[in-house]
Amino acid sequence: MISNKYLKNHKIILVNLALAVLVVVLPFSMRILTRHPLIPGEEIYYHIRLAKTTPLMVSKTFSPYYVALWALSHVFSMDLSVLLLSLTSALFSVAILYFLIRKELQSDEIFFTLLFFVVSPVFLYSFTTGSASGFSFFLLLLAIYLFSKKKFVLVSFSLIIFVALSLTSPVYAFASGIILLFYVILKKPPVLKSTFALLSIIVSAIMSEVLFSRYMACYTSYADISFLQKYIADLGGAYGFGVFTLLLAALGFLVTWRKKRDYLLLYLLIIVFMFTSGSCVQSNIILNLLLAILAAKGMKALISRKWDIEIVKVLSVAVILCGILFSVVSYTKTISNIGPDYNLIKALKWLSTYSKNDEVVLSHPNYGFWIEMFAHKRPVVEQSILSSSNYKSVLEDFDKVFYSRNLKKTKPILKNNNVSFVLVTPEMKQGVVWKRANDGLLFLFRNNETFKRIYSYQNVEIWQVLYTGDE
Amino acid sequence: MKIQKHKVALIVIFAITLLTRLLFAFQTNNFSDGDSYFAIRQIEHISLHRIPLINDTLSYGGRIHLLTPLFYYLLSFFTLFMPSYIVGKLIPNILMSLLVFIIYLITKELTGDIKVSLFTSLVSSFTPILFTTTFNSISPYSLVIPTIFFGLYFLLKLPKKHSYASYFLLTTFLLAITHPSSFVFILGLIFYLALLVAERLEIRKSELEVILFSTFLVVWLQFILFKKAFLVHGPAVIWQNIPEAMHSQFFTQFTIIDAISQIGIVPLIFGIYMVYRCTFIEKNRQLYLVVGFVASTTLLLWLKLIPINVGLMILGLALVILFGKFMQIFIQYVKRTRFSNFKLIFVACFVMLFVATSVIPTLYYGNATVNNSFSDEEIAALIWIRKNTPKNATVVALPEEGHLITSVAQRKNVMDTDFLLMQDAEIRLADIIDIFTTVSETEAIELLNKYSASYIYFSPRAKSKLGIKSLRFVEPKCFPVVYNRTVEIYKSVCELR
Repeated sequence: MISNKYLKNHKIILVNLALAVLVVVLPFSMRILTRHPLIPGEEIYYHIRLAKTTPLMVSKTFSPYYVALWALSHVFSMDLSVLLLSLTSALFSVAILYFLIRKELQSDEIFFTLLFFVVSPVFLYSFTTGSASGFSFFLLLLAIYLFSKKKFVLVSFSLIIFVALSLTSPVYAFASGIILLFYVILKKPPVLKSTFALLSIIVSAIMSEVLFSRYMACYTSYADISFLQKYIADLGGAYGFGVFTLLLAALGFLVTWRKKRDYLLLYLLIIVFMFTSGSCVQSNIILNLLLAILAAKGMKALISRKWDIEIVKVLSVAVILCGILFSVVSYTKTISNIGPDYNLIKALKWLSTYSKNDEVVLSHPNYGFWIEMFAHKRPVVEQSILSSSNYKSVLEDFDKVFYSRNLKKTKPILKNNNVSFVLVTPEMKQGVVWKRANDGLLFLFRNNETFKRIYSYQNVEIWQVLYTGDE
Repeated sequence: MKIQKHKVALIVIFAITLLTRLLFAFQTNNFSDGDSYFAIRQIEHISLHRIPLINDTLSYGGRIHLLTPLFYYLLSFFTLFMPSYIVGKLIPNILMSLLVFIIYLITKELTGDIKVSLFTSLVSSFTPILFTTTFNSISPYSLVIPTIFFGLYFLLKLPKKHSYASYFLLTTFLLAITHPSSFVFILGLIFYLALLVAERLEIRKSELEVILFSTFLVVWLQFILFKKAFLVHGPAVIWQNIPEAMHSQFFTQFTIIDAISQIGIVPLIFGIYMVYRCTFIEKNRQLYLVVGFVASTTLLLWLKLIPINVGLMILGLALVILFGKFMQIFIQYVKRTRFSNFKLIFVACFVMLFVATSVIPTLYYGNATVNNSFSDEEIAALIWIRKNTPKNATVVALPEEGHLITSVAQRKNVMDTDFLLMQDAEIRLADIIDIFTTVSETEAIELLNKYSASYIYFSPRAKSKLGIKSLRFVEPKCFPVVYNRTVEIYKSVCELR
């Protein structure tokens, strides 16, 4: 067994911590090298803006992440604070995870669980672009770890964290509740602990009820992607899993099925979080951990199995590890190239100086958070509304604006929403919104009585909407 | 040294197959499909630069090609000894003719009967779909198909000797870097395992190991090679981003008529009977391997997840192998009956049936393919473009002719049949059809300006496909005809302001 010979416990954790540093820092370094702004993605800018404005107020936008970010930003720049927070959350998550599973699994299984958890697109995404989600995940692990202790103080403290978690996202409110519930049902802990757990579930449920009506309830990417794309990173899913991790997890499932009673909790949690990920993709980070455990079981089965042809065993393990590594490396490259880019930031900053704040800008929903952050303007459509109940009607309205060539239809919608500017990026012209040069709104831009181009640089354009003479 | 008779017979079958193929292939100076001209560009580029043509400045006015390079490297090696045109005519036919040996080996492994194996190898060489799809085109399938069946043979031999595992793994690797259809091979193997499980037969460790590894290897290599396509098109990459209007050309509904005409009624009927026999009458793990391929390709064809010609080629060969097994069982059966003296008559009947339903259709379809190949007049027009137009000119032609524009005329095209990564493929196709069919000169100029196109290549192929006799918008002032023979070439000289 490789475990006894090579994988001493301290080495397991050190190797995986080193890998975690590499996985989190590499995309940021590549962004610097490729001359992109340090912080990638859309969602993170929403959090940065809130952390800058209302970090400590217990308002509808309160989250422990904002407190941490706000505190760090007093010492470091905001970019560096995000990076540090991502890195520390990632490292602590790995360390706590190790302490959580070390008594449940064998050494080699622990090693592979941590490896598959760290070297995964979901981990990479969660601790870089979606660092708020990564931070919440760290809190969840911390709460579970403290809850597993015997000391009353630690268990009480875990309750506070569980409740705080409910403030971050419905996923974590739900996760806290469900994990504790299963724990109480399956493990039958002492009465005091059970009471604590049930109390925590009730509070989480109340908090989540409050949260579901909140502004940033559950981040949903504005992309019309298929089921497979959503779950497979190699097909483009932001919170997707690597193909090989899924294959190994399937193998792990087959292996563990023989002792299905021992793995009931794992199976139940996987099923539950598969369902929740349908409506809230952030739960994939929890699912990623559960699948990593199954994949580790699968990997162990592959290695410990007696192979007829030894060379095939070596090659298979090599291909699997290369495949897993490839998923992450190519994903790192993707993250190092995602927006915002400097041309867009330049345009948005220019817009912030051009007119007064809080005017309304129309653009693709993907740019909403950046418009708020850099232009200090209000986007008509932003990602967060996509979780609200009326998002379909909002999007339908703006589909009409984007695709109609009839000014009489378009202008009233613009006016009703007080749209002052339209931001057009090269990506929008190259298929994200329009496919032809004269499609919809692009055609209407010819009407210089209604639209005036006030900014154009490197194919990023800003058009002002003129309402003079309408009255 | 005494050469065994069956070896001579096999070489004769190989020679007949190759000669028939070459006889048809050299009836025309040109190839049957545009993809062959794309292959010629790749081969010539590799010969010159040692790397495949990835950044193509001519296709779609400039784009990136995603491809698996082995086939093109193999062909470019032969350009050291002969011109690329001869390589394109000769090597794919030699590769496909090698199938004779592979089918012989597989059938011999399954039946142990040399005569039946020889006859089966002959039948395989005259399977209409295999012949017509590959004899006059430079298609990676002429390497893929033999490699798939080599893999199958090595897997059959694996239980006897573990050294075949290395050959099998090498075959899988070569397949994975030859064409994405290596997934079909993997699916066939998975179906084989499923059949063993369903029939409660033990899965041999060695088989499971190599199949598991092959699956990992193929999945990984395809993800590396086609990463961009997966990201751009998602799971729809299976359909190669073929525009809706052209979809039916590649992924047609599979019908029994197609199967009869393209595979041949004899191998089809008796092959299906063997599938039935394997499933319901006798358990034969070796045959399950072939049945696995029949089942997987049938399913893929039925679900339209595989181009019909590729599916039919693999299905056809698998059924031919099963037909070989049927022949063996049938002859043994006849031997045990009172008709044993008439064995030769039965065999003669099979041969006559085979000639009538496989050989004759093969020759007929072969002739039709030759007639449908690009004509010398079309090539002459393309050469005229190369000699008489500016080097950066863009030429509008049908997508099927796109590769000829880039390869023979060496000019930019608006569209060709490599659709991967081309997110505006639907729009381009619609625009090209509009250019050929519009009556409005303004619309034609607008569309030509959109792609900076200055020439229209109007061939008999376009006339027949679009059902038009002339370009109705053409006025001599804006569209002077610069070449007017079988093919017409118009120059676009006007711009919209």
